[in-house]
Amino acid sequence: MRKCIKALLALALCLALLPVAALASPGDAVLARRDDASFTDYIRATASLGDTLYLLGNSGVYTWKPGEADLTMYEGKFENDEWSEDNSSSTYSNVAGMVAWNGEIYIIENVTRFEAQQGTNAFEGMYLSKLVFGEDGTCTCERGDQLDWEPLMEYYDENEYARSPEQTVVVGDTLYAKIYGDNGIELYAIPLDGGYSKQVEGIEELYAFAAYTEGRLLVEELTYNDGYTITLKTYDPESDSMDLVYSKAGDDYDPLVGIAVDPENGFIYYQSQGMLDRLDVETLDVVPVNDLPANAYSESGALLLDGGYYVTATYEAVIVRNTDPALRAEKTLSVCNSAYVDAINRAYYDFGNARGDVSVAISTDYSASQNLVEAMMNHSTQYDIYVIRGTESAYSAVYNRGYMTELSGSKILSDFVGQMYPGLIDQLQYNGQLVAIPFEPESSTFAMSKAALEKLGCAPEDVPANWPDFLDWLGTLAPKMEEAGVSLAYEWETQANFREELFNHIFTDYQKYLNYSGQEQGYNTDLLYNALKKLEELDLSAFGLPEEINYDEDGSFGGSWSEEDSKSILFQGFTSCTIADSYSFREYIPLLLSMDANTPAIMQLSVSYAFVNPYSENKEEAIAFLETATGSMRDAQKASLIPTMNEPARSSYYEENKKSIQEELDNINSLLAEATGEDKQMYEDMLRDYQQYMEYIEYDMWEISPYAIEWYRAHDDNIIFEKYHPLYSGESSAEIYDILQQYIGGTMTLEQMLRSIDQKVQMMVLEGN
Amino acid sequence: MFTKKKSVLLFLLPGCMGLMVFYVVPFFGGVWYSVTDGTYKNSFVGLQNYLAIWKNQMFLLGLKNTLVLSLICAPTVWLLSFVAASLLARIKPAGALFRNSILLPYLMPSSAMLLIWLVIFDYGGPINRAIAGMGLERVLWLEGGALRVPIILLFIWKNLGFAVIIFLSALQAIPEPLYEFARLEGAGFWKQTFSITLPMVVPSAFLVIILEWINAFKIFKEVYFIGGAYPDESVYTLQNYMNNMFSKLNYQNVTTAAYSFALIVFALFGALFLTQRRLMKTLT
Repeated sequence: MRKCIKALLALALCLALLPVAALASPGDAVLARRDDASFTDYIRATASLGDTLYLLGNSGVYTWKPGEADLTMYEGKFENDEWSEDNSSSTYSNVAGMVAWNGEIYIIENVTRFEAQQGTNAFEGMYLSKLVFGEDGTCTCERGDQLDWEPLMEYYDENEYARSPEQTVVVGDTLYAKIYGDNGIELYAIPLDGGYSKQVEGIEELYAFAAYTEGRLLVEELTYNDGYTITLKTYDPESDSMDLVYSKAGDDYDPLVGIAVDPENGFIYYQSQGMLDRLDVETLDVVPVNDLPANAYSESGALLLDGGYYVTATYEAVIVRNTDPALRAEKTLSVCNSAYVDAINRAYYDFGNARGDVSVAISTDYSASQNLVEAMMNHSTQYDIYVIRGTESAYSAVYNRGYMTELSGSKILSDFVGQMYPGLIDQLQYNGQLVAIPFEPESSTFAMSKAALEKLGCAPEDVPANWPDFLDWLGTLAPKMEEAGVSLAYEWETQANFREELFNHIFTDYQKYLNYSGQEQGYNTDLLYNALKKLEELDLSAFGLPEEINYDEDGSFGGSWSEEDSKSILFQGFTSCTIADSYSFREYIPLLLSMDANTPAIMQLSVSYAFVNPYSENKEEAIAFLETATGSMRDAQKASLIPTMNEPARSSYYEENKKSIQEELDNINSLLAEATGEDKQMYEDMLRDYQQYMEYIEYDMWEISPYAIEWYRAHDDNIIFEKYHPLYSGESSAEIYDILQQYIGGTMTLEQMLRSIDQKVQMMVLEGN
Repeated sequence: MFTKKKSVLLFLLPGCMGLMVFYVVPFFGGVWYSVTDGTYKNSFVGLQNYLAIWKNQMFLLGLKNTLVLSLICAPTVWLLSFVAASLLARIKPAGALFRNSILLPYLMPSSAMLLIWLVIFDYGGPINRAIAGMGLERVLWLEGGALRVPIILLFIWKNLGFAVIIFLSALQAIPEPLYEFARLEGAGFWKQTFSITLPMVVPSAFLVIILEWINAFKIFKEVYFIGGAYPDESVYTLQNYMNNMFSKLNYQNVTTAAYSFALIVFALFGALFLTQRRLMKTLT
């Protein structure tokens, strides 16, 4: 009977705990996400009091407590710019930080005065101003006492500038601030209740700091001496002494990011490769307690709310995580995002919202992707999903060996891929089954300035479409350059640099042509020889390019530069030419050239691929994550992969920016109407500038621009997707590079160079994979 | 003695375990790699990998070059070392200096020797200057087919010393009275050589030829250092092929090539041992 009762109680306990175990850690939240259309503010600082989190935005202050669904907003503006009546000076205040002290929330106000006549800035003071939260949903600040900011001042000519803190922490009645000083990063102790500030000495290469136990400060140093060493020290302000707590040396740059300390037990929480870890300095045990976005790093540091919640504010969102490892989700999905694909990082948030029962840890460990084949051969389950550039040899090896989970069973993924270019679909399949999902297409080519062409009396249609003709045509422009006020390349380009640049373009375009045509890999061909021979014959000295660069006495290049000057430079170097980069087309013409008049110009895209580890123990969740990631991909990137996505779409910032510029235009027009003399001229110039901004907004602010679509789709028949090639990776690429450098350096003739490369490439091809 | 048999086994155990772990198990592991396809399913494919590799042009080229280089290097070192040892044996007291000098290249690290060779055979190096001095055209020794010459000379220079030591030991072990008796009986130099010297040094001679052949088969790092992973076709060895396959993580091709070559080496040395046995019977 007793045994039955015990069994029933145990079953009841399990059932009671089951819902808890099935959910993500209670209290986990993503706040103030930039991609969230409902949140348009920008979080600048964070602070906490007890279990309440305070976020300072441009429009006010937001509060939140664990368990609440939304932020509570208190509207308020804390930055002011007031001109004196006679317009001789203005007093400007901006917020340098936000802190919690003595049960209240304060902002640090930096007040400066600008003297219009002298054109100088004078420091008025750094004030600790208390925030007052009204029941009407507004927030005001009461200016308090000045802080001693004298040691943190910067003087330049007759100007005074107060250095702003990069990170602030309050311990007791002292504000600790990290400043970029004259001698690098420095830590200052600033009394909040009056007194003089001072620099905290005895710190070498300060990285971060946090409040520690017993009124002390935890300081993290990161030093480099034939390897990186992380050192944690505690600073006792009473004795003004530093004590070593922890030290770790290694080859990799791997600091403890976003440190925060639990004051009760001294546990140190920090971020590492997509995880929130907890370090016990007594035992040196490290326990992963929760997951974080891969790019969760923030300069403002992290904090802990009462109840054990870790908070970090990043550019993208404010992340709150429960630090109790026992409350973690049952399953953890590990993603190796070594290709830094944005959609994968964004999917972290979207997937977390939909699947609270799965914790996602995203790592950017590049070495994991390099050791991919060994991991597969060892049946490693370390990562469930790998995201890797398609040009990596590791990806090629894994793909050829079929080490990828079949994804054809997912309708979302199959439908998504089914819309893409046929050539790409082929690369996503293995034995007829879908195995990989593409992300982040990239492509680049060189560009020419439209304005420079116009000055030379040429239209974009006049530019020849193949390399031999193009180089001949380029030669005819040399006599016209000086008169037209056009330069072939930027001042710092020597003849040798520029020739090498063109050489690389031709060589790459030839490689693209071989990939496109499916021909045998041969480099000792007339097609390549003719193009390179034309390049050899091009007289770059006729364009006025220097043979070597003349540096100033202090070693700098010198010379002033403006955007207007750049328009007179004919060659603009590399420019991106995918649909996602519509800004390329306003002032520049991307040029794709073919090898000769009988071959097409090839557009080659480089793509990252995500696939599921065939040995993953969380395949279902991994596939669900990839489904989410396809939805998180930006439309402009999708349009580069899907030939039927041709609907132009405005940027999400278009309306906001247009409204802002229009307001300025209206303001300037009204001022212009009443202005006279010099002021009138000034306002007319301003009007012209803002009208130009408006033109830029109309032309540039597209997510998917009509010009990009038109240019891109014109190359639809000649799009290929780049694969791994030994010429560009590994030991053999270094040998090819040596040969190319010998040719460029003049120690090898063109014929010898082509023969040498051809011989090596033939051997590579004959060897096989 | 036999009552302690069990403790003998205990003493042998660590060595046996090491042999198992580092030789036997990897050996059979490699065999398994060579008969599977290396994909996710890792299917058994029998001798398909072997058939495929024996049709691969680069494997055949590497094999051919390896055999050709070994056929040039090993007998050359064998012959030169015998002559050098014979000469050294005649200048016994002063021979120590020459013996130590001739052994020095064997003890030097390869990378250091390669640097010396790169300087010597450089386009503007002493060899080419001597050639130019004779009115001939300079040669690009470190490129193309001419790379064979420095590779072979480097091998000879490095391995000569050790072979000389072996031959010298063998020659010094021949009792002097045999030669005295032969001279008294009217035997000349060649008669003494073929009737006394050669029969007495046959075991060492075979040892030398086998060691040098094994070393010749291992010619790679010099070629790799100078010519890279894809050197000229005339010096592309089987090791280059295996190294490149290893770089591509194609363990199937690496093991298949290695075991194919091992079979050839076993056959070759098997023939050598049989030849040695017959020769010993004939001479004794």
